[in-house]
Amino acid sequence: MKATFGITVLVTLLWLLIATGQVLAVDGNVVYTYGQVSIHRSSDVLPAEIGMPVGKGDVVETARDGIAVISLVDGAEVKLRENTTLSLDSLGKSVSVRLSSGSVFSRVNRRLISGFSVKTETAVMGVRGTEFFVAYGRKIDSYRDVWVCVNTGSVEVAILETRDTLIVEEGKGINIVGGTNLSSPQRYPWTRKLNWNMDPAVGNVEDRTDLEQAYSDLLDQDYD
Amino acid sequence: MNTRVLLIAAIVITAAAADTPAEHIPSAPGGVVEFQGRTSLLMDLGRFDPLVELEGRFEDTNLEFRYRSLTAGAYIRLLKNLKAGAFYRIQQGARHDDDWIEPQTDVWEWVDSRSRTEQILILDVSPRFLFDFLPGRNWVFAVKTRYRYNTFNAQHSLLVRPGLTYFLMRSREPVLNLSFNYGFYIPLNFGETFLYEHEPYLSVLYHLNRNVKLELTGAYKTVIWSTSDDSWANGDTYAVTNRSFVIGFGVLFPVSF
Repeated sequence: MKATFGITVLVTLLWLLIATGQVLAVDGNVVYTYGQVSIHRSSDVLPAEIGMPVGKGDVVETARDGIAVISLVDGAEVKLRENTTLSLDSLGKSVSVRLSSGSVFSRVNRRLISGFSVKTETAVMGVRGTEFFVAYGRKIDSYRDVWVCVNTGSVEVAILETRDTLIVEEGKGINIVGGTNLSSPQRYPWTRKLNWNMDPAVGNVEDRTDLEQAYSDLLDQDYD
Repeated sequence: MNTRVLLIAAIVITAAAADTPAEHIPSAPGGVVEFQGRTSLLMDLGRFDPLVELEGRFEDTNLEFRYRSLTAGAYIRLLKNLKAGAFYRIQQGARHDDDWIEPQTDVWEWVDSRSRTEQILILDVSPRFLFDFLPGRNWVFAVKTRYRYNTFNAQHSLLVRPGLTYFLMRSREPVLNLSFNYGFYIPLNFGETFLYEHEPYLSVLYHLNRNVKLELTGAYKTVIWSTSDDSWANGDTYAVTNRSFVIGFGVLFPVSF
C-alpha cells in the first residue's frame, strides 16, 4: 500500500514537473563556446558552458563576440555566429530550428535524421544534404534578405508567403531578396571564405566572414 | 602677357572667320566620327585592384588606326569614399601640339607618330559618394582626378572628370550602369589655353555576368591645338578647335580572388 502510494506520488510529481516545463528533455548539448553565449530556458537565462545539455524550447543566443557549437541529436550540429538567436523548436528524429537573427551553419547526417529544417521569418530551408549556411542580410525591403549557401548536398528553400520552392545544390547559394523573392542559385565568391569546421579538435571553428561582401559595393566600382 | 593673349584671340577669331584655314595651321574638320575600343582585365584582391588594359583608336576623317596603348597598375581603396591608383602606360600614335611641323618649306603636316613609343606615369585619386537620395537610390557621384606625366615630352596634365552613375540592380547585383561624365583635360606645363581637351561622355555598361561586362560609350570631344614649335618659329600663333564624335566599345573582364 505504501509502495503504491509512493509510486503514485512520484508519477504525479513527475507529471506536474513535465507539465510546467521544469524538466528538460535533453536532446543535445553545448560542444563549444567562445565569448558571450546564453541559453534562454523558460524565464531563465543561463550562461552556456561546454557540456551543458539543451533541449526542445531552448533559445541559444550569442553576443557580438560569441560563437557556439551545439550538438542537437546524434547526427546534427549547428554553429552559431555572432549576434545570433536560434530557437530549438523541435528535436529528435526530425529537427526544426528557428533563426530570429544572425547566421547559422548546419551539419546533418541524413542517415540518422529523417528531417532537418531551419526556419526564418519568411522561409524554410529543408535539408537534403549535409552542410549549409543560413544568414540574415540587409533589410532593404519590408523583410530582411536571407542568404543560403550549401557546402555539400542540397537544400530545399520554401517561401512561406508565396509557397515558391527551389533546390540549392552543392557549392551554390541564393539570396532570398526581401525575404520573399528567390534569386537564381549561383557560386558566390564571398562564400569561399566561410569556415565550415564545427569541431574544435580539428581546428578553428570561428567564422568571421564579412557578410557585407555579399552585396555589391557601389563605391568600389572602377572600370577605367 | 595680356598682349600675347589678345594676339592669340585675334588670330583665333581671324582663323575662324576665314572660309578655308590657312595651310600653315592645323585644319579642323567638323562632324568627324571616330571609334575606339578597349579590353581590360580588372582583378579584385580586396583592397587592391590591379588592372591591365589595351586600348586602340581609329582617328581622323580617314579613320586611321593611330593611337594604341597598354596600361598596367592598380587601384587601392584608401577610405570608403576614396580610391587612389598608380599606373604605367606605354603608347604609340599620340598627337601633341608640337607634332604640327613644317618638314619642307611651306609644307605643313602632322607627324606620323604611329611608331613613336611614349611612356606615361599616371596617378589617380577618385572620391565617390552614394547619392541614394535620388530616385532609384543606386546613384554614385564620383570625380575622377588623374595626373599624367609623359616622359617623351615632359608634359604634365590633369584630367578632372565629374560623373554620375546609375546602377540598375537585379537581386542586389548591378546589371546595367548608366554614366554621364564631363572630362576636363588641363595642361599643366604646355599649351596656351586652360583646357586642351574637354568632352561630355556617356557610357552604358552591361553586366553580361560576373566576369564579363560589355561597354558602349559616346563622347563629343573637343580638342584645342595650340601653337607648335615650328609654327612659333614661322611667326604663327593659333589655338585651333577640333571637334569629333567618339564612339567606343569595350569588353571588360573583372576577376575576383
